[in-house]
Amino acid sequence: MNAIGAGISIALAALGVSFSLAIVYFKTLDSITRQPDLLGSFRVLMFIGFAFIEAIALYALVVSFSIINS
Amino acid sequence: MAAEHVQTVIYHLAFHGVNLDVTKPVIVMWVVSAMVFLFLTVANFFSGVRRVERFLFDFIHDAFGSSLHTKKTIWFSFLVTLFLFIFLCNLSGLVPFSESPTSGISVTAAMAVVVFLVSQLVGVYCHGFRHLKVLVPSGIPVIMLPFIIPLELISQLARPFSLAIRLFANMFAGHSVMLIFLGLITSATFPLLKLLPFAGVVLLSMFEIFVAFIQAFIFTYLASFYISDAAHGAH
Repeated sequence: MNAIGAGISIALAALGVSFSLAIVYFKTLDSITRQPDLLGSFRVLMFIGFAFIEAIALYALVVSFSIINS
Repeated sequence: MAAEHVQTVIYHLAFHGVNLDVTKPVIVMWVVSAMVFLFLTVANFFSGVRRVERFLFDFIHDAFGSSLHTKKTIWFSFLVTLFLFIFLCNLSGLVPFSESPTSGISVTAAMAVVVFLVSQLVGVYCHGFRHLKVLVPSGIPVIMLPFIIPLELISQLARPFSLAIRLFANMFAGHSVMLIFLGLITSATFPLLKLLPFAGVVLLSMFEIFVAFIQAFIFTYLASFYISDAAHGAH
């Protein structure tokens, strides 16, 4: 039962995070095609956004590990 | 969970019932602190090291300087030390027989609490009693205040929590994923199949270097944002 709960928690978080990462990447590509000169700053901002969004999936990973061990 | 798993204690130490055992991450932290200290002091004597330091200072200044318009010099040294310490602590997880201190929640929580205290003290130093206006956004009708003030209080207190959990979860998750891949190497029955998880471990190690950098960057970026926000935001 614990394993099922842990799996559901990380799966839902991964679903949401993958959609958010797709939105960020899509919008960055869109911005680069509009303003190719600002590629460098777009790249930095994109990676910062990636790290923030990724952290949410990792919260869920920690929670699922603690569910398994509980 | 890494926060609960039992560390091998190298030297027992207790102070009035507070557990101060010396474990592997503690020794790694000492080594990292000594490296940061040596790097920042030795650089005055060797031009090669100074060039590296110059490059690093310029990078950090460009990245965080924009959010610290005033009182730059005081907080700049704090941010440089924070960045170097977290970056080297993250990287030390990739050294054989070493263990990353930032993959335990206690270390990241301590650093987050330090950042929180610094940002609050900066607010009190710059604005005195009026620092409490952080809790009251401008242009809010008086009747809304009983609802807004607890919300703002929670958002202030959630900052160190999210700082600590973000760094800890990133480091911990990277290490546990690598551990799972290493387990796949031993559990593969066909010898040639062992190459696949091995390649995965190599790629993950490279990715971990990137994650180590970006998490140190984000921690320092948020610290500089909080400090500058307390110094001249919402007043």
